[in-house]
Amino acid sequence: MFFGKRSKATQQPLSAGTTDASKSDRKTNPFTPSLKTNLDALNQLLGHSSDLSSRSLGSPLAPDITMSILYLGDLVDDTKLNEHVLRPLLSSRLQSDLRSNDLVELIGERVIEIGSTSVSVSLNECADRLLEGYCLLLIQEAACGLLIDIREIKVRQVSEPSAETVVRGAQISFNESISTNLNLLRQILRSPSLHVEEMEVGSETRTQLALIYLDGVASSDTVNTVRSRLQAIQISSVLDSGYIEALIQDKGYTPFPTIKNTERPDAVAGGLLEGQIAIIVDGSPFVLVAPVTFFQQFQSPEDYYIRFDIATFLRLIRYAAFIISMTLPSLYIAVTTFHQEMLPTTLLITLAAQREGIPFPGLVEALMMELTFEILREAGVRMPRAIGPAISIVGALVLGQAAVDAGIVSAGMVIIVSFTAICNFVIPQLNMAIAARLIRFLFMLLAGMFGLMGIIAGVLAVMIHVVRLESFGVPYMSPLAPFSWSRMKDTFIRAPLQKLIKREPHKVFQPDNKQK
Amino acid sequence: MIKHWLRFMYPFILLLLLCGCWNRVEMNEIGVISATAVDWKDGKWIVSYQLVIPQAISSHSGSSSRSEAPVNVFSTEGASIRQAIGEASREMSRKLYFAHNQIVVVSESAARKGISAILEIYMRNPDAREMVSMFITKGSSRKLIEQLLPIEKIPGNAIQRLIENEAGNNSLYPDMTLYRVLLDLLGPEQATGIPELTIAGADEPLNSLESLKTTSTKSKIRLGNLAVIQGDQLKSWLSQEDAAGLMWLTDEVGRVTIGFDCSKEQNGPKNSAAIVSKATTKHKPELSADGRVTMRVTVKANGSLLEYACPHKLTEPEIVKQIERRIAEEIEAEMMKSWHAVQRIETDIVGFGTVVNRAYPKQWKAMRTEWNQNLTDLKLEVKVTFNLTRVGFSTRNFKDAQNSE
Repeated sequence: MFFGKRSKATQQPLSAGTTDASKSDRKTNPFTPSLKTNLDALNQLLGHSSDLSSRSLGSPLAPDITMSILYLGDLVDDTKLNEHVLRPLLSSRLQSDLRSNDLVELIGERVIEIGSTSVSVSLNECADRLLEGYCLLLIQEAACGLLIDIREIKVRQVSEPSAETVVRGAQISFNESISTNLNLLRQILRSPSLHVEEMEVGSETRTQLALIYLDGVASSDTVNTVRSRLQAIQISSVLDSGYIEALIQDKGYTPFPTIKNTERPDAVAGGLLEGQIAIIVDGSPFVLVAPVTFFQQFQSPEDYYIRFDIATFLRLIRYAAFIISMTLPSLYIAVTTFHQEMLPTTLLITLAAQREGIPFPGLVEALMMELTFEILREAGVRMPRAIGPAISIVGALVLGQAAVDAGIVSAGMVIIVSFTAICNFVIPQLNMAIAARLIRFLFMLLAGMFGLMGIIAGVLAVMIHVVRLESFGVPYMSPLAPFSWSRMKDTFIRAPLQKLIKREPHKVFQPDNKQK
Repeated sequence: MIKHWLRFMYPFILLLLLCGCWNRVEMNEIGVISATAVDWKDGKWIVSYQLVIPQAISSHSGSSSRSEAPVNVFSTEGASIRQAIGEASREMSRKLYFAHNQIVVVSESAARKGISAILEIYMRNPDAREMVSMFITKGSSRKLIEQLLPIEKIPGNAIQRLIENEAGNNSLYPDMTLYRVLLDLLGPEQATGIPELTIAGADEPLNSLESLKTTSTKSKIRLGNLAVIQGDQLKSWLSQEDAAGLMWLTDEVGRVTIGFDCSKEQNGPKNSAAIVSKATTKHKPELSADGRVTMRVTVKANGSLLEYACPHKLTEPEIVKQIERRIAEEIEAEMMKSWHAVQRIETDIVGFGTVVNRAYPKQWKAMRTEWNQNLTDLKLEVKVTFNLTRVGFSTRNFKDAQNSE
């Protein structure tokens, strides 16, 4: 499927000729009838790269004509080259007296045993294709070359998801290859209305990406918006889907993610069925899904595979964990340094006993512990796998137990910080968890300065911020603001499936849901 | 853009000015007070504080259990109460923190002088809570908060739980929180009853950890009589027997155990008992033409039998009816006894004035001034119905069951 698409693209320059305005300046570099000149010109274009292999050969097809095969040795599949290109050429039983361009076409049609071949008259195009792993056949006296697709793409095996694991449900995740990813997606959604639009971004990396949507389900306005934002991208390199995410998301700074990323094909398929649009970027196992609302980032694909009652319970726990991970340390600071009267007497006495002899104010103590945890967490991500246990021991024993015993921090604070950290891991979307982590520090400072009043001010500011957000025309807080009863069935709770399938999917992500 | 953001931030900046009582103070900079005692001596208020020592209470890991008393009691004096509290800063390393004060004990001398000074500071200041339980004691009030209680770690807390437990499970006195005292004294009768807290047993204070190391303690804290406050001053005392019916008259009964005589002839000792689990009292005043008030009090209660000393079979409806009647009579007798006591001390601590005020607001104005003096003219009609809902697991007295075989 992917190769089919690809060959169509290679043919395009031939049929469209020089009408493609953006590349017209590079296309004014035609072949000459001299093989040597052509070889030199290509060598020039590829910067005399040492991995460019060229080999001249004589074929029984036309014994008096010199031919030359060019390829970048690291990019081609040697088996294909030997078995399906060189052998047919060298042992052809076909005899022909055709010359120059006609001979090239004949070879492409009747000799080469590879599905995708094309004739190119542009040296620049040939150089581009060589860089992708095509091999190029040049013939004496012909002012064109034959491009043969014998690319070898190094792909990691499709494996289990590492960032979004589920207990029940498919244990498969995307990998770095766009063709594998499209393959995985097509396996789930075998619908003819699954539309794939491929494009290329990055002037240096020339990264492939695919815009995918379900025709008739996704709003055409949103598709157009996404397409035009993708087309407007001006960047030299794209190394991960994160680049695309940053470049196409709605304007205005926000710590909250307005585009979701996932490595699970079923999550992408689910999104497409709800009218979302997916963007696969070659080289990244994380597929972008947009538009996305705040509440969708608390949904795991597993919610729909397990029973609705436990799914509802888990969903509510995730919301609770999000709120806790954002506010718990700040509430603790506020209550223990401003509003001691709010605590039950015995709890106050217990906490006060722990704080006896602690040299720092509550805010400093909390910031210290939170930062320590963030450092530990970052160390856990960056360090070599082999020394992982060592860091855990240092983190748990030295920083937890010893700090309490030494009277540097109170035991209550350690509980608060570790519980907050655990709550943060409950949030299914890493980007959302990061938002909670950042806002937590803001709230802690506010609580340290103004107590509960500061927290209230902070919460209000965050709320005003999120209701103003939009993701590709869809209000971020919908269906809560603007409110929609029918979509409540799948927001805080996950209603039984019978209730959910009555929903009309394409109504969900219409931007005109917006409140005027 | 900046302007836009500023406009956006205004409400939040203003919000920060709103807070009335914020002030950053670390937990190890405050001294938590769990009980206060107020005395009046030689024209000065003496305020005593029960300061909680957190380390001594919470067994912190690392340090072994300390042999330190959980609380520390000290006193200051001044011409006004807050002045006396202010004096405390001269001898305390920490700011006194009254938000967790659980009880306030007022000595008889201070109560005779007038408790309005105490009520005033509780009404005015945000740091003192109206949910504090109030007690009156004969003699020095400081001695009461010096007393340690077995099991409990914070004595102030324990005394509040004691009165809550008493009010809920064996209603003799209500939990007189400062809030209720305020309500009563600002109400039409301007009278209230506050329980007395007393140290029973030997005159040997239980104020050291050593004294708690024995299985029986020499002295203990217990509730005593009822102090009757009129206006803001202590007027007289009511004994527990006299006060027992007050809870019935004021619809305060939660659960209470009632002893009664189960014999048919009604001449035996009150050796059977029932527990009241739910009781409601309704008042219906009636103003006759000559200006006399008749108060009709209807009590509906139900409960279960706890102890039965007679040989009758409880399967017979007449016997159950008889028990119900006997219990109702007991309740009625208690109520009448308390009512006579109220008439004797001429202080309406049962709140009949409020009831009359609500029913006859116009006539009340005329009655109001002489209300307490004219309590003897008020006619009380009590009607009690008791419903025995359960008799327990056995239908016969044990002795009876033994004899019948």
